[in-house]
Amino acid sequence: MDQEPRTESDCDAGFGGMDGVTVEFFGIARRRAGRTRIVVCPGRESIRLGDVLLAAGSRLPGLAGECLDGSRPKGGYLANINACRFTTDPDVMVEAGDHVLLLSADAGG
Amino acid sequence: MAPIPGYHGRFLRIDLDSRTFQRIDWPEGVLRRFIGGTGLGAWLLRHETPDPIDALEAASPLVFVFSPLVGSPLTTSAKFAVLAKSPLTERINDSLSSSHFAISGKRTGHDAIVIVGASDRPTTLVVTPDGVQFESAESEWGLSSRETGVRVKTRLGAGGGGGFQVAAIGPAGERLVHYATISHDARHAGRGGLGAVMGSKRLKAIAVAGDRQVEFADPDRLFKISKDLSKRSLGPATAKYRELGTVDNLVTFNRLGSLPTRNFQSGVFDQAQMLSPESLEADRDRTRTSCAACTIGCEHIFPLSGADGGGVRMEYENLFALGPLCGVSDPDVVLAASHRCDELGLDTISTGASIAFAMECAERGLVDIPGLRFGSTKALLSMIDDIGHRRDWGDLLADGTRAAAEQIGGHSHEFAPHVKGLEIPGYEPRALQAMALGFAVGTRGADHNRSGAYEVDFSPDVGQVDAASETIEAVVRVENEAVLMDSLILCKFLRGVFADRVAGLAELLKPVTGWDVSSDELLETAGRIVTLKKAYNIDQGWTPAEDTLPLRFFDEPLPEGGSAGARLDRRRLSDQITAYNLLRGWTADGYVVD
Repeated sequence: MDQEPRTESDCDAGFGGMDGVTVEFFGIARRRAGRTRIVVCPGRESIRLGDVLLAAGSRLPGLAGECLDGSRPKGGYLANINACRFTTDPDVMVEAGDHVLLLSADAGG
Repeated sequence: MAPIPGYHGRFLRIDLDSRTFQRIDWPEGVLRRFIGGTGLGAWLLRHETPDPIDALEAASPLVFVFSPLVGSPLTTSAKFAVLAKSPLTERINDSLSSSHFAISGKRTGHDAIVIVGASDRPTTLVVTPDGVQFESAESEWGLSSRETGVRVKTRLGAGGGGGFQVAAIGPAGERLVHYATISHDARHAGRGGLGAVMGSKRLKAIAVAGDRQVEFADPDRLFKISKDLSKRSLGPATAKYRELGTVDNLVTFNRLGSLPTRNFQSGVFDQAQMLSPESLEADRDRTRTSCAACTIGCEHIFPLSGADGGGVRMEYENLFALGPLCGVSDPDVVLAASHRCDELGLDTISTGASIAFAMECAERGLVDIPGLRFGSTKALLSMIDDIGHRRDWGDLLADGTRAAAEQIGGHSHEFAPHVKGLEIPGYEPRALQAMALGFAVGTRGADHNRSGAYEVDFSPDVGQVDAASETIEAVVRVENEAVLMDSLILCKFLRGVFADRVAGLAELLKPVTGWDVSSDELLETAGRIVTLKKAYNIDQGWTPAEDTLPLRFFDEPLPEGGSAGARLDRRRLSDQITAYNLLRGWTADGYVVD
């Protein structure tokens, strides 16, 4: 995105350890989840974003329905991989140790 | 001839030099071409200012504009625009504010109020359907806008319709601080120093009241769509604003590495959690309120600690500017700082950015201001007072970071955080590079509300910013949507409730005005308004060299966080600006083609 492209090492992959994918919640997602983060899908090296979100939604029912539409963020919400890349595509692959941020798509201030 | 539905068909022009006023009918076609708010205001401003003018000279017009939607049952439509040449940027400035002033102002029987000239003594204008009274404001001079509003309302009594509503300046406006605000009901036409323009006219306040209502073209249809819009405004698209307020952005932006910290030296503030919604609420009884005619209710009021008492409305922008940007994490101090800005009538973004800039200058040894360092709460609070009263170093900072850097020298201009003189809001441009383009080309300088290009950054469809046509087209698209919302005028927090914003806005305008307006026509209108604002700036001396950002953002990569290593590239930004100009139908270097 810039003159010195950001690499994975610039982001914070691995921030939470390699056992599972950490899903971090912000804003309304945090309110509905009732917590700041959760680790899902332990023991998997590579996994679809949609499966990560499904796992998070199944463990946090307050999240499913309002912030998630099954395996993808609901309208008005976005996922971000390792504070680097926004996506709503459930087929994007994430790795063990990655962080998936679930946040509002509306950043108006 | 009967006025077009939604309009009174005329504006009020007040001359403070001669203490006279006149009512002027709109020229044919102007209303449909420029709608209201920002668009109509830009037309009035250019119409009144054909030649270069000093922002603070008497002849400089100050324009209050309503919109055809004001007075309708459409949620969030109680808004008004204020426009003038900015003393901070020397370019066009359009600021929006909300609530009862819009409704009562339109009930005076005018679609806009233009004020020219200057009074020789402190004055309050009292505008009603019967005309204009020029009252002494000697007894309010020196008071806050809040105190002024209370006094003027008490003195004038009930008035017509819903009673008098007052927009006023505080001490900062009186002292011509270049980022002084005009305030009403604790909301502010905040950016660009319109309060200084009002102060230069010795105009302390404007009180409005009336009972003149406009007709609507299709009241039944308008009622139906208003009901539907209100219902949608209570859905998930606005939950963030209702439940948390915009303060929620701070922790999110910090995690993304895009939270401007210590005068834009970093995108990460290690104490950000102390300013999270959860922390702010932990020990405080937060209350919630809304503007007039609004169903969203985004205003979150936090109580002040200690002797100050009362409460203060917190938004992301005042939280970031008076907190992380100055290296301050104590919530009580940030709340108190924001309250002081409100009382003095200071734009919180430019105030925080000016102090943060001075803090960096002090840490680099460029200035010797005792105690002024990042994180110094005492220095933050005292400097706000000094700026508001133009005392000591505050007098220098009262003209904004661009002017201060010219005085301080020593390469300080490289990190003075402004574009065209307007201080950069809380969107780190190295991490949000569509927003960087929006800042660069913005007609009023670094502004997130007129551009809205952060939406492109927060988009899975674009992801990266380069000179690809679809990226630049997206920046133009969101700017067009923003200028339409600012001209109709509706709150931008409604954006998420429209599946197709432009089509949605056209559907709202039809039953109000009776115009069979299409999306294509509205998009053409949006382009016309942006071009008009640019033409005004060219009249006033704009050059292409202004469309850039400070050197820091090109030369210093972000040191940490999710955007570590990010910086702007000169060639790429230049290519983006050229592509933007051509998409606008201007010359490659940004001049308007007649």
